[in-house]
Amino acid sequence: MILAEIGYGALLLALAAALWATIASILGAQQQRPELVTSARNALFVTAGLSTLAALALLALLLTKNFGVAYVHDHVSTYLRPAYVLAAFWAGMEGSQLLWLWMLAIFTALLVLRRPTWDRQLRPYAMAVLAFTQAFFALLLVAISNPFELLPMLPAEGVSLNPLLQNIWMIIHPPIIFAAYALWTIPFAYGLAALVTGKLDSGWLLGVRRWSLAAWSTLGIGILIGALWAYLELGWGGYWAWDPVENSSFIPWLVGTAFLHSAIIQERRDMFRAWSVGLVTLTFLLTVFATFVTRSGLIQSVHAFAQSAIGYYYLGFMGLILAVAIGLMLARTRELRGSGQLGDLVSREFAFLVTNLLFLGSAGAILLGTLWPTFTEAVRHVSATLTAENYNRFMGPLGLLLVLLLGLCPLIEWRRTSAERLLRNMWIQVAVGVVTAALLLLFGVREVWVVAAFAVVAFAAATIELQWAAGVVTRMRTAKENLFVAAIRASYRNRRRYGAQIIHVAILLIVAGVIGSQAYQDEVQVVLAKGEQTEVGGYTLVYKSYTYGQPEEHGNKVRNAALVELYRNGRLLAVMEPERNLHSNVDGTVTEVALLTTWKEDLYLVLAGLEPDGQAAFQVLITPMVLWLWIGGLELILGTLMAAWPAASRSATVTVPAGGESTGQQAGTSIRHRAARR
Amino acid sequence: MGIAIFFVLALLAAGAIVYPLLPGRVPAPLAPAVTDGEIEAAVRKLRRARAGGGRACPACGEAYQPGDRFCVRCGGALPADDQGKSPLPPAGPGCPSCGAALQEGDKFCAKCGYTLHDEEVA
Repeated sequence: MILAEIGYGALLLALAAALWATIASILGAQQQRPELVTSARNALFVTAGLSTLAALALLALLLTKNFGVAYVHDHVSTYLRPAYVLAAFWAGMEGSQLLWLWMLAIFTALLVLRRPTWDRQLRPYAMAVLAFTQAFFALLLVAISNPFELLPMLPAEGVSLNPLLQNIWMIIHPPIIFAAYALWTIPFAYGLAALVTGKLDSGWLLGVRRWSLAAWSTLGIGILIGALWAYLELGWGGYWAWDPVENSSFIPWLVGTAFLHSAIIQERRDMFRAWSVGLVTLTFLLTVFATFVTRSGLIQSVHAFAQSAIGYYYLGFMGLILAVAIGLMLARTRELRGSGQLGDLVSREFAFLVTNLLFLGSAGAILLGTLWPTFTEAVRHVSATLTAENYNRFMGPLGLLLVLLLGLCPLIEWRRTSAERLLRNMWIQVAVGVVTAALLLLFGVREVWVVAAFAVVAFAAATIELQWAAGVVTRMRTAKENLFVAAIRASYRNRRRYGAQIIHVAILLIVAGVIGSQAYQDEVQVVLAKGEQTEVGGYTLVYKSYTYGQPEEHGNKVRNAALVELYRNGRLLAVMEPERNLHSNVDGTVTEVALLTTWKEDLYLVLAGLEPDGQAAFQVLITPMVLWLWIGGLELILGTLMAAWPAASRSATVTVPAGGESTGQQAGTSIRHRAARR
Repeated sequence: MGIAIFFVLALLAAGAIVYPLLPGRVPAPLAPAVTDGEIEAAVRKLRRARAGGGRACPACGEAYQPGDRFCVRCGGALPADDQGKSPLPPAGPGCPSCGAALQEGDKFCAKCGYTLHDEEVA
């Protein structure tokens, strides 16, 4: 129990240190007393150390299965595999909040480890925001959801982890999501610091660009991994159900995407200053909201709110942040006005504005849908939940509109573009879209929306490819390089642009995967006796043998499994073994699906039921293009790395050599760019 | 035992926090009122304004030099009245697209409009 005491003590001290860091950095900046800021900086290192200590203490308690601690008792058991003890760390509200605090403290420490450069003025205020957020989570942990709370007795066995969470992807999904949430705090802190100091030009955006990118893509990857987990573990053949937990992480991602795009406009045209600050604040608030929603059960029932005071803490914190941000924005109206003017209706600025509105609109609609059951329950005492079809009905068209803009934006020039110029710019892309539609019709696709959707995706993909090709061709011409060298160099020298384009292609892959899998899922249910076989979608399934009611040694599981051989054209593709098991700590059975993945389609085999005599009910789902989602996810990582690669991030400032001579070098190869951080 | 460890931790934390506040420590000065970047930007603007003889981009107001065809700040097309040589010496690296000389801080090539600041995503 000493570990629990140390953990709790560390949290108490971390709370004190974080509060001090908040006060000291603000005072230091206001009164121009650098020694106070240094003290605050040290305090932030202290919170990083202490929260690490607390996290290690909890981990040690979980690993040693110390059931005297309530959190340990609720989430692990003697028979839980050691790997899943990690998953147990973040399976509950207390552990999740500790993880949030820990990640935030580590990222903050990494941030302040570097001496201030571009952010000399902003740094103390950003530190204050980060420290205050840490203090909030430390307060929650200390006051209301203590992960080190002791039970009055020492139970011999724990409840164990929900078997649905016992999955490799559930070990890594929550930390990635919480890392993303913590990362979003940093751009937000600088946005608020920019508001306080009135330095609202694009300086802060460029300075935190890499943090924003890291936060954005980490969140995207986290969401995709969550989808992958749902697909592999929940056994209904889909990866996205628009349930509150999924939505709550998707909403900040949408708003964060709008923020990234608004940042570009501010950087390029000095417009949308208020948008950038506002969007990053909103993104941060939504990540806090998501943490709260995910673990509190608020959406399932408003009554969860009354059961614990924690909801009021969250509401108070979010309300405070919102009030401060709005107050500062009102006080800074003058500085928030940039020098750029919104151009024509057909200008890139305007297209970006529409993009932002669409992202924000989608986020708002999903948020409303997520909260709808809570509202209706509070008002009418009946909880009315939106179905996935409800969401698809508005998110489908909105998503396609965004993809269309993704293809259109690069073709529209800044300030204004004439209609004929635009048409001249895009006839090839339009042709690609039309040909795609024609081919789909030719191959027998009859659903109008599927044809339209794929045509739009092809249009956008064509725009990206053509842009890249144009860059390569320019290089080949001007620098006299061959295709290969030009392709590498054009991409390498413009990493930020092409990194973004790779991300856009990744998004298109994901969208294509979503369209394909949504449109053509094929589902068959069959009941087979041992030895029988069936044909589904060109595959032959042969039910070979089964295991019924086999209790797991040293476990809480009774295993039911069927062994199925999968053939196609007489060739054995795979031996699949779907399971449907009983666990002592959950009601009902838990399925473990068997899966065959190809780039074209997934065969997803669920054991729907198994009788003692071996008669088995199978659910076979054939879903096209699911793999495209995961490939898109990998590409997303790649594109982000490319866009954020340190040496590539440049302020486009051309370094002029002293003396200003030497233009004799080959054009295009002599440009040196200075790193963004100066 | 737990209490003892708690006090040791508290002492360590307090030490780290209080140490910079001790008298006699000379801390690094806080930020000046104007950052280097702002000074550099102002100098660039002045230099350009002098070289351009009062010419300003009709879209964004950035000064330009005789012979420029595109604004180096916003990329907008400039009035094609001034023909002639740029009074600024060619300074170092050239435009990757047309090879024309570039000045520090240029976001677009003044001759061909190539986007130097060619970055589509934050």
